[in-house]
Formats: sequence, C-alpha cells, structure tokens
Amino acid sequence: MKTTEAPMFIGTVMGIILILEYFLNIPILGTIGSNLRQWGIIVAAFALMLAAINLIRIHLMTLSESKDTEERIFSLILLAGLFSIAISGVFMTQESPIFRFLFDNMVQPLGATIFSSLIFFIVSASFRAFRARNLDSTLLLVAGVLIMLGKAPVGEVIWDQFPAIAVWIEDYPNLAGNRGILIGTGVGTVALGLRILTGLDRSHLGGQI
Amino acid sequence: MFDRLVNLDRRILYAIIFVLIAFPLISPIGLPISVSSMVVAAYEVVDSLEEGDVVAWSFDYTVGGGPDCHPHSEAVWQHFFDKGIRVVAVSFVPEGAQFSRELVMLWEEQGKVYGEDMIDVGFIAGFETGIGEFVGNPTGASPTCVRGTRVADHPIMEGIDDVDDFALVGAIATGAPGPFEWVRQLAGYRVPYLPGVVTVMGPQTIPYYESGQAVGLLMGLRDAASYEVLMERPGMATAAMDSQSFAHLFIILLVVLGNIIYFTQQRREADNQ
Repeated sequence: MKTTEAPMFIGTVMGIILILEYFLNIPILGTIGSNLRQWGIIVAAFALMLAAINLIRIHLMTLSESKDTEERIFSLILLAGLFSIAISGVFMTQESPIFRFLFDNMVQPLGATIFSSLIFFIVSASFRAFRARNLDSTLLLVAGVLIMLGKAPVGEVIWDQFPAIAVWIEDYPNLAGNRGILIGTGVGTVALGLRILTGLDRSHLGGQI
Repeated sequence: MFDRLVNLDRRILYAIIFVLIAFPLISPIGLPISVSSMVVAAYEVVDSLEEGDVVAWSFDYTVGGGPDCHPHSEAVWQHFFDKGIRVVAVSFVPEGAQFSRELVMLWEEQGKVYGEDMIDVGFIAGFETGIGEFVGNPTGASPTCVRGTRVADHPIMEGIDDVDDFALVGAIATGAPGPFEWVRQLAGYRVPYLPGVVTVMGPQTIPYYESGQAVGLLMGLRDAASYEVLMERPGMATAAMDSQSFAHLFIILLVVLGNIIYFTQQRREADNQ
C-alpha cells in the first residue's frame, strides 16, 4: 500500500489546484492549471506511443512464436499497415501523397465498411430477435418503428405526422430519461472525484476500492 | 410458405438490403426532406455570423462514424465560406485530423488562403484535458499547426486569446470526447456551442440543446441533408437519404413480418397443447 501514497498525494494536490482554478479567477492558478493540462497532453501523447509499442511487441511475438500460419499472416498485415502509416505520416507529413493515399483509400474505407456492415446484423436481428414479447419490448419496438418512420424522408411521404411523433418521443420521454441519466452521472462523477481526491478510492493506483 | 419464411436464409436479407441501399445511391428518387427545429437553429446561428468572424471547428470523429458525421462538416464549412467566415480546425481524436486535412486542402483548391481564411491546428492528445487547454489557450494547446508554423503566428489567430474570442465553436463527435466533455469545458465561457453527433448519440445530446447549452444540434446524416436543404445546395448527404428511407422501410417490414411469424408460432404451439 505504501507505494500508492506518493502518487495519491500528487494526484490530490494537482486535482485540488485544477478545481480551484476552474472556480476561482486567480491568474497564478490559471498559469499552473494551463501548465498541468499541457503536461497532461504530453503524457497522453506518450500513452498513445506506448500503446503502439505494446501492439508492435505483441505482434512481433506472435510472428516469432506462433505456430498458427493464419495468425502470423494477420500479425504481419497489421505490422505492415502500422509501419507504413506511421513512417509516411511522421517522416513525410500528413499531407504527403503516400500518407493521403493510405488513409483515403485504405483506413477510411475500411473503417466505414466495418461500421456500415452493422446494417446486415440489424436487418437479421430485426427479423429474428426484435419481438413484442412483453410490454417493455412492445414499447421499445413501437417507439423504434415510429422514430425510424419519423426520421426517414419516406415516413413523411406515408403520413406527414410521423416526424412530429418522432420529435415528441425525442423531446419528452427521451429527454426526461436522458436528463435523469445525465444528472445521475454528474452526481456520481462528483462523488467519485471526491473519493479519489480524498484517497478513499485508490483503484486507479491498483489499490482496493 | 410459412416454414420457408421462418427458415429464411439470412443471406437473402443481406442481398435485399444491399440492393435497397445501393439502388437509390445510383439513381436517386428525391424524396422530400423535412428540417428539424434543431437544424434550423444551427443554420440560423451560422447564418447570423458576420464576414470575417473566426470560428473553431473540432473534428472529433473516427473513420467508422465518418460517413455519418463528415457531411456535417462539409455542409457547415460550405456555409462558413459562402459567408466569408474564417475557420480554425482542430481535432481531439487522432483520425479526426485527417478529415480536417481533407477539408482544408479541398478549400485551398477553391482559393481559400491557409493561415488567413483557415488553419488546421491538428490533433491534440489528452481528450478532455486537451479540450480544456484549447478553450483556455487556443494558440498554446498545440504550439504549431499541422504545417509546422506557430499557431499564434497565423493572421487568423490575431486577437484570439481564449475560446470566447471565437464567434462560434462547433464540434462533431462519434463518442468521447463529445458534447459531454465540451459542455463541461465550455462552462464559464459565453461562446455559442454547436454540437454535431453520430445518429446514435443524438438522443443523449438533445438535453444540451433543450437547456440552451448548445445553440443547435446536428444528428447524423439526416441532419446534414437537412442542412444542405436549408442552404439549397444538395450534396452527398441529400443523395444518401433515399437509401436511408429504403433501409428503414425494409427494417420495419422485417420487424412486422418477424412478429407475425412469432405470434403465429405461439398460437400454433398453444393449439397443439
């Protein structure tokens, strides 16, 4: 437990400084707060690099140790992609034709394809799983259908009141539910923040909650 | 017939949805698009800006959500430059910086001058910490822009000391950091905030519009199409609306059909017992 004392103390002091800076207009606190946030940005950038190094390490191990040929091919593809994007982006700038070609013709279409392929699962699920089994699921189903009809232009062609119904669902039942969630999350965040600042919660340092 | 429907091969459904989405993209039908009050509010806020105003625009979306979110940026940037508004692009998501690069280069080809009409600050790491630093110190959060010049040295940044010196902050997001982080970090500032989100984040973002913390709201491709309608400049978002309509109709049809099958099966089982 001793090893968590120093990080906890540093975290508490920094946290209190940032809270005071947020609520009080004192120039020196503003300067310290700005410096702390810039440190945060630098640490986050290093964390990204650390994640990349970890990914490379894991897939190099797979390449050298795995007996599964398919797994090794996938690791090789991943490493080739990672290095080609990183090298072209870092050494040739992000506006270089090579980096732009890789991003515009590989990264972007692949990302969009993965996200878009959800439609096939939605179609299959809407036919096989979306059932009015009880009152809750019936309400969800009816609300979902009304929102879809209200949001798609074709809904308005079928009946011009569908958009108004969709807006009502968004503005009343949805708004009420989401406000409750947001307020609850806000109160919970304050409570968790206080627990961390006072050292009652040390789970982020590997300690007990 | 009934048993064939129950055991319908899902690949048939996949093929039908593929055709239903692809066909209207190739040959648009032009279904009318209505405009929500949130999009009208967003349009009016941008339309009320004056020539020479400087706005900040954050590209906080990933490549997955790009097709749903990037049309927001395309439509609103068109509106900005139609009115002579200047834009500072920034991103708090790594891939977002590539979308800003794409738009900046596109508008450079249209004659806009980098550094005067727009700059690209690029990606700032740290998620909400990065946003917090940018709103308090837009020229210092990332000392140099993506082209290596000091952000503070660009003419567009003259007189920009904190986020209140912008006429508007727009931020399009597919997740975190998104409206929650921006609203938290903009508390205490007076600058109008215009969020845009991927469709599935829409319902949870509406409370910020209703409370007045957001001056408008753009939700997914549909609202990008609505924005294009308001500008009377139909683009890719408008073209994709017919596909979305067909996909929605097909899903509703499947839900209804699936439930008819479910209740018929229930009745059959009850009769057999």
